[in-house]
Amino acid sequence: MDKVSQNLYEIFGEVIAERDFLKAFLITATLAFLMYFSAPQIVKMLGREDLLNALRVTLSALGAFLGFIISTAIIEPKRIVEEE
Amino acid sequence: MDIATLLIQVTFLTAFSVLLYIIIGMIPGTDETATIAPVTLAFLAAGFDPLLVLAWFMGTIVAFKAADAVPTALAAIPGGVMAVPQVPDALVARKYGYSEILLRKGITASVIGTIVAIAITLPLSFYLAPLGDLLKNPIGPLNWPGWVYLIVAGTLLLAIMSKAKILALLAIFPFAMLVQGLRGLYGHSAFISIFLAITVGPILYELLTLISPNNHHLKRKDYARIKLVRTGKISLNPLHHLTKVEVALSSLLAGLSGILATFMSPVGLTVLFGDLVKESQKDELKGSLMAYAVRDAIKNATYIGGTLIPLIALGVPTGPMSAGPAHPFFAELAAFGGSTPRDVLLQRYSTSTIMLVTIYATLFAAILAYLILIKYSKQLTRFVFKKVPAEALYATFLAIVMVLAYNDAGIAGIFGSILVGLISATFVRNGVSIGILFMVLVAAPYLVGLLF
Repeated sequence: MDKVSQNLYEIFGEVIAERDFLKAFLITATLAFLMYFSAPQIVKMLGREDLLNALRVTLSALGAFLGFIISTAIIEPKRIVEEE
Repeated sequence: MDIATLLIQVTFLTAFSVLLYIIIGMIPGTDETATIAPVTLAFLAAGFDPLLVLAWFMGTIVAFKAADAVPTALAAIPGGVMAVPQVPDALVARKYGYSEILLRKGITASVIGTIVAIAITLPLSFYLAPLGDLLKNPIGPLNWPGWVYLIVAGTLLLAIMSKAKILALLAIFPFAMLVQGLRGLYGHSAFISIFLAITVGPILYELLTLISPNNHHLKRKDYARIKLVRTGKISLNPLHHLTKVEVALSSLLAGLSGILATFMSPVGLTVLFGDLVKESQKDELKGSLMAYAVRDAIKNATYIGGTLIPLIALGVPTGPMSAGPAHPFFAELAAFGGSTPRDVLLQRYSTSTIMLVTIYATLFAAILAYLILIKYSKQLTRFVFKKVPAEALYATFLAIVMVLAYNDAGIAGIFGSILVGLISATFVRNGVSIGILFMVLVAAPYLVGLLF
């Protein structure tokens, strides 16, 4: 994404872009909720319905982590590093 | 589970948490509670073995606290909230060209803080265990369990010590009412969604400002510019990095702070003792180097002591650390049949197993973090600054919080989290310590009971 076409904001000392944040949030939240709602099918397949809540939480955290990796790969950090 | 299998699992988990949290710790603005608590809670709510999660947690706090001072030393940008008091020391060191020396001192002192804290607070927490029963029985004029008096006293102490004393005191009852009001609406004693909302409140507030028309003050025209100072090859020998006085002060104050963190704020102790050390020196540079090292030792020690003493000895979250980042261990979770992970931990494992695993995980994490940071701090900082976007990190933690809030109380849980997050952020942004809000959350039923 071209930096001039995006609105940049400073949050907690970091510069972030509006659209890139929205993109990262949609990716991570979608993956987390997709994994969350797929848990009942997975426990049925495994025949271990007692594990439903545990698997829901684990899978959704895994989904969010996958989202983090994908967002990291496709979004450019808004920092210019100068070495002395 | 036999001890060998346990130690092998702990080795992998700790190594993973050290690597991951060194990276997260170096990213500016990553609040410790917001980045550690949701993951810990996710593991525990999923029913993972509490001892393994404790090992993971210890590895995480050791690596995170050591790493968040690296960008502080190299770029004068704090890696996390706890590193903010170190920025002025880092600026003094930079003025005299001592940034690299400062970096080594900080990393070494954080290992000293870790070792001293684990050596003192872990045995102490088992020694103090009989106090736990005393704290759980109703006593005194209000017929509260003993621990409630402690947590309310801690809240008042934190409020009086905070920047916004009157606001902090004023926040106590309204915030307790908000918590109990939401619980009434949900129809059950929800905890997770409210707890997480406090942790991500400040980030949520800033992100919501982005979609408000009043966001001009946050707008930037260009990317953040980060200046990294030059560093050379660094010796692995820890004795080369600190003076004898620095070792003595770091050890002494880390030990003391580790115990005091049972009731007191880690940030407060870091500021208090660091400033005392700094003011004791006439020479500006010497004072700053010493204060930076001491603060790094205290950071690790307060996180360790503030977790272990309430967790093992008292069984109730008595201070900002145990009511905050470590609180998932005290929460009654469905995955453990309504018990707390803490109770399951103490029932499932013997004292010696808990001590062995905790010591092993903590020391392994400290040594691994030390070696990685001392050897590769510059490369790691460059990698994190150049490759990891803040957007991805903020989005990830928000997504975890949303899904756990949904799991706790459905759609209402998500809206309730937004409400709690925004109110918490308003208090925090105006000088109220986040620790006060965590402690009010824990004591809310008792506090609201006083009003009716």
